Amino acid sequence: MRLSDALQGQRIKIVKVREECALHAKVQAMGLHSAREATVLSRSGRMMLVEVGNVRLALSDEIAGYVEVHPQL
Amino acid sequence: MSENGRTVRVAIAGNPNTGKTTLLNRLAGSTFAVGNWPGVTVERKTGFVQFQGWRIELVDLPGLYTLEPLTEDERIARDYLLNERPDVILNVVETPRLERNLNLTVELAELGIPMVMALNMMDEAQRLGISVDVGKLYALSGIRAIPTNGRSGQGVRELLPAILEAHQRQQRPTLALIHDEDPLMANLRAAAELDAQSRRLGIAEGLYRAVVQRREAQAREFSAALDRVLLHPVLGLVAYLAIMYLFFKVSFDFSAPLMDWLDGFINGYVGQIAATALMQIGAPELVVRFMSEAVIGGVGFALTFLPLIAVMFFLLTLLGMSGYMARLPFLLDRFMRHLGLNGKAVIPLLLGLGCNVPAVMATRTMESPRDKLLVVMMIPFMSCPARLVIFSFFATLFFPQNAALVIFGMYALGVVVALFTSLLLQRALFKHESSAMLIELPPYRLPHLPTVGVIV
Repeated sequence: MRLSDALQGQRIKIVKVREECALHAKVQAMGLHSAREATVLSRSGRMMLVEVGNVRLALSDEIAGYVEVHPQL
Repeated sequence: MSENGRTVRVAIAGNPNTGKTTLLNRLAGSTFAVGNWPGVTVERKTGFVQFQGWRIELVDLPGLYTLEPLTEDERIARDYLLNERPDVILNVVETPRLERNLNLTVELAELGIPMVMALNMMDEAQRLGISVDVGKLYALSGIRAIPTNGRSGQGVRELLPAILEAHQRQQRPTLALIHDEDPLMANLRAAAELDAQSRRLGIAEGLYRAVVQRREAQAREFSAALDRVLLHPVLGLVAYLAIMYLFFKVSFDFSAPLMDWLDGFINGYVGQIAATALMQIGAPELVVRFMSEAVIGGVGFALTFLPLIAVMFFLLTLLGMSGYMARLPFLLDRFMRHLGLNGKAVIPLLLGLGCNVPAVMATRTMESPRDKLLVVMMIPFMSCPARLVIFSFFATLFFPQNAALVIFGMYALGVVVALFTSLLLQRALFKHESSAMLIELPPYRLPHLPTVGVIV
């Protein structure tokens, strides 16, 4: 599924960031790259707050839509 | 290599919010200077220090996450590293978030420039139970790492001998771990088959796992608790309005006594002295009044607002360095979207209330040229304290009974015209949807006041 579909409080594991994303390199350099686990902390409008390790990232649905993830239990 | 053999040019590079400027201020002291990169609206912070007969020149590069830039300041940092070829790179990393910071470290290492790493914010890392094996880090990467605390200054002076050693020995990073037979590293050999970025990410992760130890149980972060309130859809907005109210109230209340004193000093003292002196030398009354009332009085009227401008700048810098301002784009994006703008537009527009010049400069963090131009066109309508001088003058002169209301009305009119300008430009010229947004929310920190003072 896509990160943009993840629910608040859901833990996910990142599969990959699709290369069509214009911010592909930056998204990965900021911590959202394959095999990383993350938690969706909150959502506000089109924005979502995600925690990856000790890093908190706020990203819009347009970018989250390019990030493929697996839900974690 | 420097033209002068006793000079070392050091580029301070790292992710945003790692404390690069604070370290520069600690190292350079009174030589810390803020200017502009040529031809662009991005601040350039420099300084130098004399150490063991060497002049070490330091340049603080804008923060970046990758050497593939998207924004103006990222391009400046990348271009400086590629074109200027500094003698040494001082890679400042945020130790509590070392794993992510190492992504850039690997890219910087590929430049083949001698490198030293400042493991900054060690106090915070220790509170989180994070420890770094600097010896193993050096063995695996060829990078000398020095634990530092920019706020207290701990470890900062140790950077200088490390920089000098790296320069004299031409100690380039080796990234030796990809040849290591350690089972943990063996997987990274497969990384060589992947694209360049995946390979770099693999190396960074491997390096992190090899050198960092972390205790299982950690105290809840203060930032997480504060975010539950300040980023709440309802509470967060209430807090924002309260903070903005306090911002203006403290600015005006704190600066009012200073403004009154300045007014009294300039008009009641300097102006009187000038008038008396001119009368004594027999100057015509027109000249006396022109100098004392028009020149000194007029310039003085503007100067009286300097305390207000200084306080507003100080508070805006405090808000920025505390980490709160970085959260505003997330909090207010859904409102900005209704105006066809990106949440990142909030910060330059807010800065415009302090001064339009740094507000325009702040648009450098916006990736989309469309959004950037829209915000730049809006900023002139955000009324800064200098405009308050004019508003006050006219309001007091023509509406003495309702001066405060008239001034507020002018401020509000400026905001309305700014929004109207944005909507008009979007219909006429910039018809595309506002761009995507990706930002990091740094942890909340107490600002380092000496650095704030220098920046203000």
